[in-house]
Amino acid sequence: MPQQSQAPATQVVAALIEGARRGEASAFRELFRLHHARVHRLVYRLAGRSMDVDDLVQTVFVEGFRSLPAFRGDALFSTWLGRIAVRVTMHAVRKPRLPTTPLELAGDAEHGGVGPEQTAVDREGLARLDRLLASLRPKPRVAFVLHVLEGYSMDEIAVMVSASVAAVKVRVHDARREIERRARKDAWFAEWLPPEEAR
Amino acid sequence: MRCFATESELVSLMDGRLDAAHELAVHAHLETCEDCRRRAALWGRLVPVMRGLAPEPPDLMRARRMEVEIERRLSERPLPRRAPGRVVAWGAFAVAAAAAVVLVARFRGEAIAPASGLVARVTSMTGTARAGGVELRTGAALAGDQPIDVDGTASFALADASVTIQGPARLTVAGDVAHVALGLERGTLTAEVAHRAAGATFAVRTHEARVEVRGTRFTVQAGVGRSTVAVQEGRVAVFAGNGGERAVAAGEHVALEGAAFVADEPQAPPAVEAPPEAAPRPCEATAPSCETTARQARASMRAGEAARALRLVEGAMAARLDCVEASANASSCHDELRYLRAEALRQDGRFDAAVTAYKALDHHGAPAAMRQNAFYAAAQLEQRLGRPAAARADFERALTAAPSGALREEALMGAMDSAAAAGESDVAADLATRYLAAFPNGLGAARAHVLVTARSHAR
Repeated sequence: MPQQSQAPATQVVAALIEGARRGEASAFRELFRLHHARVHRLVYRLAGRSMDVDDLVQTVFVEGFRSLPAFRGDALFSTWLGRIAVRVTMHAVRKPRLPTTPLELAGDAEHGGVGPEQTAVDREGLARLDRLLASLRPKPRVAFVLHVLEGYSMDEIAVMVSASVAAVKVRVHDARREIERRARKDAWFAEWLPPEEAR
Repeated sequence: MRCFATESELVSLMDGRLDAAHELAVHAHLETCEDCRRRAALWGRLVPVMRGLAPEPPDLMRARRMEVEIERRLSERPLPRRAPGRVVAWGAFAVAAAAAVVLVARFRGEAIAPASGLVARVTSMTGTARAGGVELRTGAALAGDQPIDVDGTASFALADASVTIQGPARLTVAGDVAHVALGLERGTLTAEVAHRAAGATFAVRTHEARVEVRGTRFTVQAGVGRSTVAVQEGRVAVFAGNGGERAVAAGEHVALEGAAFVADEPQAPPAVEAPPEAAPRPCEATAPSCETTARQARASMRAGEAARALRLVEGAMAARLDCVEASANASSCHDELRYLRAEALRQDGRFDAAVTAYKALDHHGAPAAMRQNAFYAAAQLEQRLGRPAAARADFERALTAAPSGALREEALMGAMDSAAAAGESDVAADLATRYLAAFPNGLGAARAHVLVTARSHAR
């Protein structure tokens, strides 16, 4: 189970899923409100700021809600939605594309999932993390984001990406090595490293 | 435990997710392995920093817009796919369909692509025609985007089409066999075009208009600041630069000046008596599916190619005019295309046209949520264009379209703020009172209190 943010109570989510299966619009809305921030963060980390993150988030929820009859409850709803988010995002990332500004905020130079309230330091850090992640190949990036940044276990990731646990471990290992190498060269990240690591 | 296994457990160790036995094993390895200790220290620092570098979640307004878009997409029923057997029927219908005209006129014409595989040949000549200073003779082949100056009358043959130019005229020929693009700078062009396959285009561009044709006889006249289109066969959809659209039947004509249609102009007699129209074919066989068009248009907009998205949507809208909608989803298909057109116009920076296109959705029985979203988007553009009174009216229309819709709070807040910006203080105070009654703790409650208090002080 991901560690980074508070998961909504399981019973509440189960009741909402039942409502959504009956077609109750209020249940759909509540499920969206409970999960959109987490899905947005995951999609952003997987896709980067050059993608239309809002559009991908919408697609994740549309696919998720349409597939609710297939949700058996074997995993947490958030994990199941995360799996859809990975599939939708990676599908979009693999397609050839041009850089784009999200339609909703076209003309907003600050945009990219980063709000005006975010400090300049955070914005720079986020942009540098974005570049670090962009240097990874897609599969190691997914494994790294899910395990290291989002806190999913290797077993959960194996289910989410339809791979063996051993394969996921190798992907995370490869990504970590690449990130270590690049973080040591990056002045912004070097400040956070133990003194003997920062060179 | 070895180094690889230890490394794999480091994040779980930090997150406190290891059981006691695993935790002991990891610590035991770390005590004996300096490399892993260093790595654990490094990631012990990096992980919290990286996790803290998260994008801010969408704010309330953005989340609401996403919610509305999700609801809209969920409300779309899956459109039926074309059955494989229809390919045979397609050919039979092709014989029957003799006349169908689709004209798409747009104020901002797009640059014509250089010619690729398209050859036009001069078939007859009365007077002179020159291309690049070289006089053309009957039988000459044209392949290139050099302008052709015609003084007199010249006829050209293209694949599946013949074109006659009456001078003084200037013409450019570009595109390819499936996508013919003629540019008419001045003069009169009469074309006879065989019915084209779904997705194929035949376009004539003037300064005022872009005219797309799927198969018919028609005449385009390009003058100074004015273009006219007369249709002899089939039916026509004309999209003006200001976002308006109009259907024109055989025997009718339409004129455009600047960005708009010329209103209520008496109909000129058709140049050629219109023959009876052939039986229309089903849209499934002749027009690209809404689902495909919508997907392609959205992809184009995501890629920042608003002009391409517009071309796709307008082409699909036009293609559906000369066919019979058999699907029960026809109405939602048309609305979907209209909505996408408005979105594409907005992305293209054509805000006035986008406002008109959004508002056009109110006249076609579109779903309430879509109408609310459209009016809300139009109102936002009106605000951006510095027209607060118009914005207020559109925000109120958004409320009326779906009184309990997802954007009701934002629409009421927008109406209230726009009225205040327009100097309509009484209206603003009334709206503020409504807002406070419905959303006493809403985002705009503080501003609403200010407006209500200001009125009571003024009295």
